[in-house]
Amino acid sequence: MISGFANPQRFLGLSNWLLPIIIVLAVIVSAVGVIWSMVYAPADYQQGETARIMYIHVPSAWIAVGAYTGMAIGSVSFLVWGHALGDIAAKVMAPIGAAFTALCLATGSIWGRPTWGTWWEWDGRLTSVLVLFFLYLGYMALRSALDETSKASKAAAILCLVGTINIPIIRFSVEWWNTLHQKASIVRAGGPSLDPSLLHPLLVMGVAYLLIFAALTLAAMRAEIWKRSADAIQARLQV
Amino acid sequence: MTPQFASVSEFFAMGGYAGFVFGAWGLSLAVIAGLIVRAILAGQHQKARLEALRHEKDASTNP
Repeated sequence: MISGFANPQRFLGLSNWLLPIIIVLAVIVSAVGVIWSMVYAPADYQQGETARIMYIHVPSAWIAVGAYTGMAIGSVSFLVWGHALGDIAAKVMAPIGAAFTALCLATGSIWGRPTWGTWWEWDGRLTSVLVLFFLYLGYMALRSALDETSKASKAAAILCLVGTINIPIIRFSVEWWNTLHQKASIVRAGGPSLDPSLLHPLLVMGVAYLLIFAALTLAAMRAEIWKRSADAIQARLQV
Repeated sequence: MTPQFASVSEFFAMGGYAGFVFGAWGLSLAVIAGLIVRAILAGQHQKARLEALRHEKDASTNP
């Protein structure tokens, strides 16, 4: 199945039946996640109802970092094995990842005002996520500035890989520097410190966001494959 | 599992933080809806363009 994804035509065939399944799952899991986290999850004993912002803030942060990691994997597969689909995946994930990074920053800011007393703090976590947002914008600007050639794809892939240095910085920023942002509470030594009554709806929302991201990415990859086929025919017709 | 709110109005009050909670959720919903619309439009546009160009190519190769 993974090797099938390396060929654009086979990818179109596979995604043709995979995409509807992911969309149906995304709708179901999102509905469960939204109702659970907004109505049934208990309010936090310190933060009260503002803690309900967590259920959209944390998943958007996972997608922000995950999409960039996906772009890096696609870029490597394009640079090392010349997989066109790796290049296509990296290209289409950039605007989607940028949107989720913007959501992460905006919802974090809205959450910070009532809980920290400030919309913004120039600390390690917030600044490194802002850098991630600018990496996405820089990647998209580079791609749109160069004509679609394998050279442009290579330059973009290299820029993407240089930027991956920021991913571990985001992960460990809350440990390296003093910050208002809380430390890791889910993927940490000794297991999650978040209470199960809050952790479980958060994980459901995380799966919902992942499914939404997967559906958006597959749909955008299909559009990009059609675009490249159309561009190729157009170029031949104009000769 | 029981609902955490005794009434609908209590839900919409969000403990006095309705602006923050619904602001963050509403913004997320709007951005994700925008991404979905964008994905659908891009797919429709490129597929239609590809089919039109394939017709044009067939017409030019089989006069």
